[in-house]
Amino acid sequence: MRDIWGHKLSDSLKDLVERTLIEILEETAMIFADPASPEGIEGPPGDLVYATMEIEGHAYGSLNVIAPMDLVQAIAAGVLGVDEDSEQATENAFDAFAEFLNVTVGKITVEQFGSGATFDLKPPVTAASDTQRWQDILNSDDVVALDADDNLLLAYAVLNETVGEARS
Amino acid sequence: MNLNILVVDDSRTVRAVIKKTLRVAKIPVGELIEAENGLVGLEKASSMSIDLIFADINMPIMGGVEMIERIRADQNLNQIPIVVISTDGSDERMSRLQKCGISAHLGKPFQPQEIRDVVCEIFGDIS
Repeated sequence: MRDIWGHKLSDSLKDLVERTLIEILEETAMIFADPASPEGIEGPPGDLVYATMEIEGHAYGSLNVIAPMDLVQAIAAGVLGVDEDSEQATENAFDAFAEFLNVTVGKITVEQFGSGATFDLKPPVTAASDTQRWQDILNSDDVVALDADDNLLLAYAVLNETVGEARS
Repeated sequence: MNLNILVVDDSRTVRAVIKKTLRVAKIPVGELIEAENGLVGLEKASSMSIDLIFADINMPIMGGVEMIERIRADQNLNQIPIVVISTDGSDERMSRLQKCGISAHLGKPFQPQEIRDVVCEIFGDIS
């Protein structure tokens, strides 16, 4: 078993996570994000939503994201093409955040391992979250921080390859 | 020709986006039926008159591959065109789905024009 993304992400894979999150935010929700420095981030901004998605198969691990509710609602609004304050955006906020994670994981696994690798991607899980989780992720060596339309999004990934040389 | 379309995806956001995309792409839709997993999709396909199915792959309870294989094994349903819309595009899974005779695979995120193109490919000029 070869360790690919262990407790310390390699810079190239961290870049892939960062780049893919930015691309998917833009492609699916028309939200434009830039990398942010974790050092400059202060306390968590209001209500938080956490989403995680487990990956099994050619590699195993998870991608985890946490963001303020305002951004999660903005993602839903962007995906659905409705106002951020609309009932539809509010009702679909968690679900849209889960789908955002799903699409991101799909793209990362293909880019990292090629289409020859087979994965069993578990349905993403979302939940309201708390300050502690925000702080834990922020303090992680592997954290990816994005500034998305003046909202912060944090992410981290853990992924270990289970099949030796099967990249295509 | 109005098409009765079954959309099978565990994300209601995706179902809403597909619904909107069909409208934007000017696909003539009769009934649009939604299902949140493969099992419900199979039940709806069995109990209603469906012209086209859009299906996700990774879903709880019953995933898209099992649903499609069961639809293809049912002589009353096996002629329904199926378009897979999924983040999962691995060669092995695509090969398995091709063997089931899916009509097309679209990756997420998709564009309205892609939806229109695959529907036109299946049903000809539908405008």
